[in-house]
Amino acid sequence: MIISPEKRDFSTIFHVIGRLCLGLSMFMLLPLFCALVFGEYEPFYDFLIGFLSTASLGFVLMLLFPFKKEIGWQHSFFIVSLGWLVASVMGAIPLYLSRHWESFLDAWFEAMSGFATTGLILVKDLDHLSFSHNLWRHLTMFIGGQGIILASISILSKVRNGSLGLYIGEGRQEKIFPNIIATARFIWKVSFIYLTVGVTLFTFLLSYKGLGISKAIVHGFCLFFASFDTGGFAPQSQNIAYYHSFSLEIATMVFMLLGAINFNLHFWLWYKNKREIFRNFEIRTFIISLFSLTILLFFSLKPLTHSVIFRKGFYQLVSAHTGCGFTNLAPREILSFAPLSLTLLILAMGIGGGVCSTTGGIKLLRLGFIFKAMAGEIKRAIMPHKAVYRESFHHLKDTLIEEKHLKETFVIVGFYFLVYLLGGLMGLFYGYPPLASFFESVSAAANVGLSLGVTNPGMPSGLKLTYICEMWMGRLEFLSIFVSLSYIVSLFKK
Amino acid sequence: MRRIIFLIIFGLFPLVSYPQSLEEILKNSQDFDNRKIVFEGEVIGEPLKGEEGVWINVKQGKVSIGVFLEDSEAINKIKNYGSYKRRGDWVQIEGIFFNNCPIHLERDVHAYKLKVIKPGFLLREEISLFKVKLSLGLALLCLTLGIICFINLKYVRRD
Amino acid sequence: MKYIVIIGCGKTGRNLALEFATSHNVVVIDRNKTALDSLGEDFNGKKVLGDALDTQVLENAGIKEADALVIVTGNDNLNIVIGKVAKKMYKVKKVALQVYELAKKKIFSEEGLIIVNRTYLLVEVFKKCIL
Repeated sequence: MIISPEKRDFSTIFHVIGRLCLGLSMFMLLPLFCALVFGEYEPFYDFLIGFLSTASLGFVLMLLFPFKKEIGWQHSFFIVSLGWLVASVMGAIPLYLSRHWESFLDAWFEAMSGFATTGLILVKDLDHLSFSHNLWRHLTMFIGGQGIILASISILSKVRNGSLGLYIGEGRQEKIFPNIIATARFIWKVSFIYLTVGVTLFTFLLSYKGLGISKAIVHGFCLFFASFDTGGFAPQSQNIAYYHSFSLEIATMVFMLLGAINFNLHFWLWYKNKREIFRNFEIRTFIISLFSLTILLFFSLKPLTHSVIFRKGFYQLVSAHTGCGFTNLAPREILSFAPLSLTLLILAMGIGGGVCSTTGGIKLLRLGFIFKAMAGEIKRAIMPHKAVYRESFHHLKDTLIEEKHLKETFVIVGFYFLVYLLGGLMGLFYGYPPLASFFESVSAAANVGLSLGVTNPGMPSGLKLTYICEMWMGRLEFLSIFVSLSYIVSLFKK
Repeated sequence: MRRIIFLIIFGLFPLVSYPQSLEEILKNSQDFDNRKIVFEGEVIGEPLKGEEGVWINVKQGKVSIGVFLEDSEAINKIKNYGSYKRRGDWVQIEGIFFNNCPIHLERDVHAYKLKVIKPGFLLREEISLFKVKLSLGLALLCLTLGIICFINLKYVRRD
Repeated sequence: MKYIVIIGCGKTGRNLALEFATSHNVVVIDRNKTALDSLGEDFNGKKVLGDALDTQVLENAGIKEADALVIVTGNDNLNIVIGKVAKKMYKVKKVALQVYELAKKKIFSEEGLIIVNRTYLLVEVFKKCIL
C-alpha cells in the first residue's frame, strides 16, 4: 500500500519551503553588502530585487499555507527536492538581471550548477562580471555544498520529528553525532574553521601573485568555496589557469581532497584517532582507485614529459575524482587529450569522493562495497559449501557487510548508471559525438564540472534542461526525487 | 591535409605579422606549436608575478590565454586592465605559442613584442529606472507581507 | 547538549530515549533488535545492537564521551555490574540505574551510583499524597 499525501501535507510542505526561502534571502544580503563595499551599483539593485522577491515569496508561502501537521518522513522528501528547485530558481534571479546570461534558463542552469556544486558554466564574458555576482555564484556552492536543509536544521534548538528525514533526503547517509542538530552544527563548525584557514591561505597566495588585497580576499573566498565544496566555479573565465601559479594549484588540490573526505572522518581525525586515516575503508579505496587511474593516465599521456603529466594530467584527475571540476588547462586544451585519458577522467568523475561529503557520483564506499561483494562471491564459490563467510570493512569501526547494505548500494549505483547513460543518450540525440556527450553527462550527474565544450550558451535548451535535471538528481542521490515523484503519481491514481 | 594547408598558409609567410584568430590557434594548436603567432585581444585582470617575468591574460572573443613577458617593463605600456568597471587595453601580441611550455608546463604564449592598439576605458554603469522602480515596489510588498506574517505569528493563535 | 547513553530499551528506556533525543545526543544499547526497532525509523539518535557487558559494545556506543549513563535493563545484577564498570573504568560523570530489590539500593548507593528503586519511589510518592 502506498500512503499518498493529502491537502494538509502539502500545506506543511509549502510552509516549510517558505521558511527556506526566507533563509535563502538572508544569504543574498552578503553579495548585496559586497556590492556596496565595492561601489557596484547596478549589481546592488540586482541583489536587492533578488533578496526582496525571495523574501516575499517566503512570506507569501508562509501566509497561504499554514503549518498544519508535524513534518513526517514522507514530507521531508518533498521538501528537499522541491526546496532545491525553488532555491535554484530564486538564486538565478540576480544572475539573470546582470545580463551576463542569455536567457533565464541559462541563469537557472548556472544557479543549479552552483547549488549542486557542479561547476558547469554558461556565463558570457565572465571576466567583466562584478565582484558581487561572482561572490554569489560561489556562495551558492557553499550553501548547496553544506546543504540548504542542513543550514536550517542547525538553527533549530529542538528536533522536530522528520529532521532526520530531511538530512538523509539531502544525500548524506551518516550522522556524526547521535543527534541531528549536533551533527549539523558540527558540519558548520568544521566548515568555518576550514574557511578561515583556506581563505587566509588563498588570499596570501593571490596577493603574492600581485592581486590587490581586496580583490585577493574576494577571489580567496571564491576559490575556497569552489574547492572545499568541490564546486569548480572560478572568478575568471580561464578557471585556475588564470593565475599561472603552481603553488595555488597545489593549495586548491589540498582543499579539493579535504572536501572529498567524509565529514565523519574529519571528526574522527580531529577528536579521536589519528591513525584512522590509514585504516579507513574509503581512504583505502580512494588511494587504490586514484593510484590505478594515475598509472593508466600516465601511459595514456606518454608523449608528454613527466612534469607536464603531473601538472596537467594529475590535476585534472584529482579534480575529476574529487568532483571539483577545477581545470588549469587553456580553453579547448582538454580536447587534445587522447580518448583513453578522457575515458579515465569519465571513470574518475563517475566514482566521486566519500559519502557524507560534498562530492557527487557513485562514491567510494559504494565502489568498495561492490568490489568486496564480488570478491566475496568468488571466495564463497571456492570454499566448502557449508563454510560461513562474511566480508567486513573498516569505516570508523569494523562492520560486517550485510545483504541490506549491498542491496542499497546496488540500487543507487544502478540509478547513477541509468542517469549517466540517459544523459549521454540525450547528448547523442542532439548530435554531439559519443565521448563528449557521455563526458558531459557524467560531469553533470556526478556534480563535477569538467567540460569538453558541449556546455556553452549556444547548446539546445533541451540539453540544458537535461543537465539541470541530472545535477539536481545527482546531488540529492535520487531517493528524495523519486519518492516525491511516486507520491505525485499516486495522487493521480486515486 | 589540413596540416599541409596550415603549413602553407602560416609556414610560408612567417614574416608578415597579420593578426590571427586566437580561437583558430587554440582549435588547431598542434599546427602552431613552437611557432610564432600574432594576435590581438583585450588585457584582463591584472599583471601576475611570475619567475623572471610577468604574466598577463589576453582575451579575444570567448577565449583567453596567458601571455608571459620576460621583460617586466613592457607591461608599463598597459594602462587599463579589463574588469567589471573597465574595458582593458586592446593589445597586439607577437610571440611564440607553446602547447606544453617547457618552462611553465602550461599552454601559453611567450611574447617578445607588445603593442597597445586601442586604449581601454572606464565602463559606465547604467542603472535602469525599471530596476529601481521594481525594487521599490518589491520593498513595499515585502514589508507589508512581513508585517502581516509577523502579526499572524504573534497574535493569531494556531489551532 | 549532553551525551547520554541508555542501556536497555524496554518501556522506561524507550520513553527516556525519545524524550532526551529532542535536545541531546542519545545512544541506546539493547541486545534485542525488535526492542531497538520500536524506537522508530526516524529516531534522532544512535542505536547499538549488542550485549552491554561487552566493553567493545560500550565503546561503540561512545561511553568514553558520555556525560551520563542510564541503565534500565530488567536485571538487577546486570545493571549494577555495568554501572560499576562505567564508573570505575570509564569515569562516567553520572550513572543512574534501576534496581528492583530495595536491599541492594542501600548497599550500592554509597559507591557514587545514582540508584532508582521503584518500591522506594512508590512509597515516597504515596507518603506525600496521603500525609
